[in-house]
Amino acid sequence: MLFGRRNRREAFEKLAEQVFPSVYGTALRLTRSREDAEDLAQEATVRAYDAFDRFDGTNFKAWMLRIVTNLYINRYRQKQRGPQWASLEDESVLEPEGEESSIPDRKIFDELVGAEVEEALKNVPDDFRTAVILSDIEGMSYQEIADATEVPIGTVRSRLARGRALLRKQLESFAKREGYLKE
Amino acid sequence: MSDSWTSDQYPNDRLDMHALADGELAGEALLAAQRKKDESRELRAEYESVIALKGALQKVEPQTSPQAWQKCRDRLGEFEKRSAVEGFVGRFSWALCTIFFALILGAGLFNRAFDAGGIRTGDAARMLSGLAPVSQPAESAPVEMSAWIRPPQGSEIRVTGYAVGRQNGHPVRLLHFEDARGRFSVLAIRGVNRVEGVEPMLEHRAYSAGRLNGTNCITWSDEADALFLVGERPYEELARLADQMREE
Repeated sequence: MLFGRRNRREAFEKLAEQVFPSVYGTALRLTRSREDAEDLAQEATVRAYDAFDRFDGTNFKAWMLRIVTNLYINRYRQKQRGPQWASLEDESVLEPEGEESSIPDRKIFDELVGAEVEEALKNVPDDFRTAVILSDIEGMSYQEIADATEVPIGTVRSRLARGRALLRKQLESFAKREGYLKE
Repeated sequence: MSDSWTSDQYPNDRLDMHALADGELAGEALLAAQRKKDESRELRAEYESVIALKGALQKVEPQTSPQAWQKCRDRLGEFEKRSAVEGFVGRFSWALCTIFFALILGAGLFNRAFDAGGIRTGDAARMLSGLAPVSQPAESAPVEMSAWIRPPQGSEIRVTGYAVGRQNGHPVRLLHFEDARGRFSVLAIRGVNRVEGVEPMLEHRAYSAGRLNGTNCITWSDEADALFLVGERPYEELARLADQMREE
């Protein structure tokens, strides 16, 4: 997309401000630190502005989130602490979700509020958390997630399934701890 | 399709339930997944679990932070300024270098052309210490040098050495003297009519006073020369000495 030099910044800021809650929210959920999230959001914004002439004009939000995710994977994740459960990506360790419990998930999840879901999400390992955030919070397609994380679609599918399974367990434990569910 | 699944088709069918819940299937694949979901209790539970989880994730609050957005705008402003400067410098670097070089060269040429009659005390000091003495007896100083400046008759002043040369394009002559009070020197620089770095003497208007190489000196102009009388003695005494020598 080509803009006049004078209007370039204005046009970019208009679009960027609209999607900033998604950019900042994703940065915050990926880094789990307000300071790092601000830094990541700023750097992603500057990079996006620098590359604005190369934006194809289709989906600005997906394009921005791709930059945020890419930047996070290549730069910020290296300094993040905590174990990386890479082996869990193996599809053989996927466990059935629906048949494990006789209690419908709706009953568990209806009681939860957003902050509790956020808290549970923090405990999901990076790769799986990234897939869940981009898909279920930001509504990105499998292809867009694959582009953002630079992995094949098959890997996105398995990461999503595994991430959801892990998140479900986190939420279930939380619900039991808080008394929403009986042991 | 029955509820009993072989191990190799089970994961793919489950992944299909996720894809179905995510709206990622179309055409035949969509119909097949819906059929599987309807026929299998386990897959239906999987599908519903995904839908419920997606619903729970929609409860998270959108993260709005005007301060964070303002910081991004500030960073953009900084980036734009830096890019503008870098772009300008990058594009015109050769032109800028050429202009600066031309300015320096022009200033040097201007200085040389229009300021040829002036000299700084620092330059005079270098001339004073840079001239190698002629290895001849002092008495053999050229007649023109003796005539140029002469000790007062009957005084105890005697010439102890001399040097001639050319520095910064100026002919330079240097005579070393000695009297009862010690040594002193007279430096004459041809073609110089203005000396910078010296102050006019209040009692002796004809002279200006300063220091050369850490030694007191007085300076004056005499026809085509700038003269420096340099010696380890007070300015007043140097001025009186110069008066005597000039009277002759």
